[in-house]
Amino acid sequence: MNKEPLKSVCEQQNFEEVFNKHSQTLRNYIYYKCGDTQQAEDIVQEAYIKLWNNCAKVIFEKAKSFLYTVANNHFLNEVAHKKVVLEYQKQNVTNSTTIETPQYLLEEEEFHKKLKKAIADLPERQREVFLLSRIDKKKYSEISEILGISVKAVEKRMSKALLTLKEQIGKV
Amino acid sequence: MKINYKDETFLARWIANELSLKELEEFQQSDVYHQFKAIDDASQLLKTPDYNQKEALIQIQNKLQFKEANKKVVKLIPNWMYGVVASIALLISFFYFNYSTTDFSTSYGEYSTITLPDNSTVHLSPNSTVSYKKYKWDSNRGVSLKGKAFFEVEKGKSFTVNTTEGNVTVLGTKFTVNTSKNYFEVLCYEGKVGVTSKNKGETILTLGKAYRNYNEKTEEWTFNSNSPSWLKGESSFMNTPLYQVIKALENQFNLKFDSSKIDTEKRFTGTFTHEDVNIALQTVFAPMKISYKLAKNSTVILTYK
Repeated sequence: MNKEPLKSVCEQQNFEEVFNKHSQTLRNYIYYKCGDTQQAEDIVQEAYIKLWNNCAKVIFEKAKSFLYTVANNHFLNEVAHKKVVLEYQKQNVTNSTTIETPQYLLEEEEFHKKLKKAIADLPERQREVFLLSRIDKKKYSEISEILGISVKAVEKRMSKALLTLKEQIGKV
Repeated sequence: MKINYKDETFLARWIANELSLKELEEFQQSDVYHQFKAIDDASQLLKTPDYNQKEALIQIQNKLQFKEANKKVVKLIPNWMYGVVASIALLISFFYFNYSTTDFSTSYGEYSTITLPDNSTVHLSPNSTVSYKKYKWDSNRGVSLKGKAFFEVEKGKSFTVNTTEGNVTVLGTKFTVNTSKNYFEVLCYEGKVGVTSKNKGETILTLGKAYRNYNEKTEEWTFNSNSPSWLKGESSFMNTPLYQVIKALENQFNLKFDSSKIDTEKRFTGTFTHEDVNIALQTVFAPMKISYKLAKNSTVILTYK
């Protein structure tokens, strides 16, 4: 009959595929909003469980938007809003022609601290766009899908974030 | 040079390497450039706290196995929904005492039951709307319907359902009205109903009789049912034009179909379940020898094999 049946989310391997593909970014996205890794991971878990329980009613290609909708709704119900705490990756030895003086390294560390604080102080809407772009490396078109807003709106929030960060860091 | 801050997307486009060469060069010569560049460089090194993805998947799987053992049947219309609908009706009648219109709508895959002021009930199908005026309801029972609903009308003064395709008038009985563009279908489950299609005279239907006005042509037939099958989790069709069946699938499962390559006037008789979208699609399209495939934009394309 039909040569290519639609992929079913109820099949374990398809469900795992959806998990492996989207759970990291989904968890990061919720983390950017609430700053609590445990909460973010709980919400991701609940979202995937809900997906499984409704697996026969959601087509495979719509699983991603289903997950984000459920996760967002769960998030709006939670109250706690902690501060987003990010870290810096350990820098590998770069193009080592430049010798970095202790003074330089100190200034760099100062700058990193200021940047982290400024990011944590950003309004949530700007922060989530900024981090989805910088950490998760998502294109503006993908972010617009995830958040349900236009690409232009994403670019505006991103620009505002950059401007705010520059102003905050520039203050003594 | 001053950054053109009137361009609200300038910085976003810069950091994504979407500026023209000229714009980029100009920006690089401004005195704020190095500050933004520093942010760009530093932010690329950021990372979130570690996430043990494998562990998380195992936790989910454990929870699900547990749930399998405790799985129970989920009601089609949860009990609390009756409470919500009743509460909404109560609140509205409290505050809106006069000429205002009350509406109820359902979205994709959603079913809803509304109780009218005289205890008549309306069971709404997905993607449908019913509206009425509460004022002096008992002497003027009229509702407007968009889409599809099953009515159980209490005995009383004349009760009318108005749609863009025609009207149905009864004194007290049970019937389904299903409308969409140029399509008007009424099924009588009890008693007697008077059906008037737009631009046509009145037809009387009794228990077990159905009427359809489709592209100006009318048909009547007999069916055998106590109450609509869609209240029990499946949708049935009797010699129904395929495009109506496709519409019902769209409303139930929130899908979009591209049926430009098939004949949607072909008639379909059969049933599809609401519980599983894949089985539903197979049941409808396999007997008609139609294949379905998902396109990039989540539209389902229908073709003959």
